[in-house]
Amino acid sequence: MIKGEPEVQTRIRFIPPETWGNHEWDTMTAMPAVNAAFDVAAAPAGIRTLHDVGLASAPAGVWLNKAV
Amino acid sequence: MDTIRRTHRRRHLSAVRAARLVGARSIHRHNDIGWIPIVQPRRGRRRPRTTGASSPARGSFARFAHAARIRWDVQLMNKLRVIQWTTGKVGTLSTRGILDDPRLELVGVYGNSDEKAGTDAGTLCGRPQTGVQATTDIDALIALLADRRAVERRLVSHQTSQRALGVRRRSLPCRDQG
Repeated sequence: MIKGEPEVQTRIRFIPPETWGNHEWDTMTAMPAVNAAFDVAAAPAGIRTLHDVGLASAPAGVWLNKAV
Repeated sequence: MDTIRRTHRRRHLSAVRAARLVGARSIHRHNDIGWIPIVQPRRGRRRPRTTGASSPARGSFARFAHAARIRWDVQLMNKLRVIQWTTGKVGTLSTRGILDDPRLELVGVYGNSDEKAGTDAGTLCGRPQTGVQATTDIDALIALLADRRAVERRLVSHQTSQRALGVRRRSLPCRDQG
């Protein structure tokens, strides 16, 4: 959400396949690790943060738990 | 000019064009001796040429997609060798993600129990047989990534593609650090 004139809001909905059960939702947890493999491998050795590696940090925004 | 020389010149020019497109200063190839430059793009041009029929114009959003396609192609050519560490609740799903990603190559799986040792990775994550068996031998898993030359080649290619995306330049890890 960007406050201003005009105000900009972005809303993301996850639409899983119908075959997904509760366990398959853990794919959302596994996805960042798999997709970050290239960036992590290219990073210099040592303790690095997401910012150092060039990856997106924690999601910022408003999390809506209700279905809209 | 005979056919062989004409073909060689065409490949040379296309390599130069690709290097300028992604902003690389030079293209290197690794032989048995070491890294050798095979082409040197024109000096003095710090920004890649963006005008032309082969690439979108500067300032166009299509340029991001163009750079992403280049990055994808480079990653396809330089597959990342990946070891999956444990195959629990989330590890099983990330193993599926590795198997489904054409840019990644599953070379080893660490099983956190003796029961999983020797079991195929495909069996552990509910996919067809992969030929990669889980093991509890950590040293053997680390030895799978001993192809340091291939890793360095992949890192250089990755940096080249990152430059195409406008990502800031990063330093390569030291050779001794593997």
